[in-house]
Amino acid sequence: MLRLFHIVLLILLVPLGAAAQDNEAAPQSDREVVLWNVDGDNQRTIEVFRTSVGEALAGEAGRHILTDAALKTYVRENTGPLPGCLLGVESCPSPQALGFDALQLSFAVHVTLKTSAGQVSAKYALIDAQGAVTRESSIDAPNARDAAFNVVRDIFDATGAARFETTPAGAKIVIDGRESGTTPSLSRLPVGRHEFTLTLSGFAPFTGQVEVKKGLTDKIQHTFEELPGTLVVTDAPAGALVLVNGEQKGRVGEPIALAPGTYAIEVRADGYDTLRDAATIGSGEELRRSLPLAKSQGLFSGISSEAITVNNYVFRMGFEHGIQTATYQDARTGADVPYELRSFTDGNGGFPAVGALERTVHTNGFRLDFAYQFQNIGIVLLSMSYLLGQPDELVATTTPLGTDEPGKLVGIQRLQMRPFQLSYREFYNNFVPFAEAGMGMDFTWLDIESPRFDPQRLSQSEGFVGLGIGLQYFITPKFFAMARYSLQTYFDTGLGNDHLLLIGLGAGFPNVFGFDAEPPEKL
Amino acid sequence: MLRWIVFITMLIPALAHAAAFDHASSVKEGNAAYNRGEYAKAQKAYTQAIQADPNQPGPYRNLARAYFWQDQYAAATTFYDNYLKLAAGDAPDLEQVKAERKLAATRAGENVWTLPDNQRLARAALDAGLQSGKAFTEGGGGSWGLYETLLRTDYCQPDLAQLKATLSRRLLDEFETLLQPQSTDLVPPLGLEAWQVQSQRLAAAGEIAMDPVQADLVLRRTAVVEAALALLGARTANAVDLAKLARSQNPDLKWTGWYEVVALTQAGEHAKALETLESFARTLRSDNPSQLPYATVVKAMLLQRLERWDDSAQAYQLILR
Repeated sequence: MLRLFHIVLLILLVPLGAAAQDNEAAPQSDREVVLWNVDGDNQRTIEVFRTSVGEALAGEAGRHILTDAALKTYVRENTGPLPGCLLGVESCPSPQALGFDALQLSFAVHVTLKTSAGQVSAKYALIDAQGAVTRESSIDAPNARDAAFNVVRDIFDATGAARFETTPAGAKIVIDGRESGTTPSLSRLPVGRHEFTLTLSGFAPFTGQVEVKKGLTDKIQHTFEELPGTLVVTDAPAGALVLVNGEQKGRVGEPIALAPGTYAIEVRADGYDTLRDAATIGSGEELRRSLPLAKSQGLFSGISSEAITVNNYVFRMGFEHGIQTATYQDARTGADVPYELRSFTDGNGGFPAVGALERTVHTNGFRLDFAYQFQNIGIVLLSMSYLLGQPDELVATTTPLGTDEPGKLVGIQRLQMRPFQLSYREFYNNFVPFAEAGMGMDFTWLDIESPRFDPQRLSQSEGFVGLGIGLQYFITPKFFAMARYSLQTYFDTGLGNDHLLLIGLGAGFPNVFGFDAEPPEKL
Repeated sequence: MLRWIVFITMLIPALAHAAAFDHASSVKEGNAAYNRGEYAKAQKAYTQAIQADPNQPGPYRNLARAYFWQDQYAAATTFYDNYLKLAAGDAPDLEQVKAERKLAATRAGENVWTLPDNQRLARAALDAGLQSGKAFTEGGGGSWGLYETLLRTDYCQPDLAQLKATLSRRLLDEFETLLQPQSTDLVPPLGLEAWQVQSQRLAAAGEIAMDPVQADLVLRRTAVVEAALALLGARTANAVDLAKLARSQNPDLKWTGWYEVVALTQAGEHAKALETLESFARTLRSDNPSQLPYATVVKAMLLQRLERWDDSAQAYQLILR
């Protein structure tokens, strides 16, 4: 009988060995590998039961490991890689599941035999690859052989296998609400319809049904679709536009759905510098990216009044054009016997007996100012203008003999000194309008030519009050461009009003005379 | 082995000193620019010096001076104040700096320096991140990303030291949390990419950690991270040395024993792996008996590799019965 068992076992193991070779080549074969653990109270009964199971499984496609020797052979043939859970790349199943996985066993059948009064009672449990008991039953039979055939029938007529494969692999399998390992996996299930869910982080879960048939292996293959990720740009000004790869996709704070990948992000807002960044979004990931924008340095926002006002000492210089309507009636030479301008004359050489004619004279020159500025108030400590003109106007000049002789005013020079003026300014970003008022002294020299006497230079000096308005544009906190209009009214009515137009440049300095303890220039 | 010990031992002190080096080189660069009258460039360098070590007073004074010469007196006043707060009471230039501060404040008038909007927003975002968000996420995001954003805004206030301390603590907390296996795991459940993120997270913490205890932790954990990367990246030869180093340097991380077994197995040193496993299993009996069945499975697998088929089958039977 023992010899017969060996022969039967040999017959069984030859094709099963070939299956094991297949397993080496293709570890995830659809062919099941089943480990049988049989124990009981009678060794003879155990041996008969094992032999009979082998006979009963003759038509079964899977490999069935029935004895310790068969297990040793199988262990010799199947050395698997160390489980990934030892490195943390996958979660650790139970130790039993790890053992199943190491040997690539599909499931195990634990059978406990009891013999009493001519009856054999076979209590069996089906253990799945996760180490969980999925089916338990007890069968009574008159002998071990019948018990073996009944157990095999009970298991293989009532169950079937389902193989789960996914791309990528590693998805969690839940069948009828119970976790059943990760893909790829072969699960033995009771015959009938089962609901399963495959879940993998970052991908949309997949739910389906499988119809398990007696003894057949059904295969479920699923390729996961990547979930779109979400990009949320934060900390940029409200309403800022978010562009992804150059296309406007939304605004700051709004979730923007994007397929997994790397994107060029651009955030734009009026009055702020555009910010560019790159972002990599994974499947199903919500990426929040903080992108605060810096304010733009535009024409009207570049320079603060704080930076300007620290430059207390201000120098200004510019081209000035003077327009004066005057009679110059009191201009005279400085000699003991002076020549004196009587009046401008008309085309016939005439002039009024009382008073004098006036003319509008244009002069051009430069003006220099030096001022000390507080925040808004300023004191112009010295202002000086030097202007020249060539009026070419007919005049009558009273000679030392008392006669009025015709002549021509061919040149005019003017020097104006303003020792003290007050100014007031306001700041509108880089633009600084200002007004100033003060008194000054004008010195005028007139060059007269006449066929009746030698060329004479007459002079005149007079005080005035002045009022000016202007606008400065600061290019830097120190340097500015300016335009100004000044009106000067003379105490002597003969000189009339003086209109001065200036365009120029200026510079401010904080500590010209080094009165204050400044930081060192070298460290 | 020795090579790796030397490498790891030198790596973290080098990281720790990197901040000091950044600080010194930035100050030097700033002074050179200042002496050339390139105050904007000097300002940038002093800002970087402060960011590298916010507790050093010197760069605040120099930064104040750079602002002064750029006529930004309100900002200068603020940074003079920062210097005066941090400088020692017997600093030789206190009187000079006070005089400079007075002049700057006079010129600033009623203008008071406030944090620029971008710095304020970035700071608020970091505060919020430190309170509720993750310290480090893949790609350098999380609070670390917000911190780097804050630095890019040229934020350089003394409270940066506290921010760095908080952030480094949060980074290490997060790192350590991920380093603890769940009850059902033998080792932390992290793949290669996750370990790369862990490596970046640890490097980030090392970059800003000012506390020597934290620096020591970073040093020891670096060996673990390197071992994990070697194992997962299949750098077999290095993996054995690194796994041994990780285990010896981190006795609190019992699970590094599994790393050593795996590294030896991957290197084909199955007898040593078995010896290590048996020694490790003895410690598991008292430390974590629930993991002993796993040790039995691994033992069965190692016995297979040693062609001890009977012993291997017996070990498998113990588990599968």
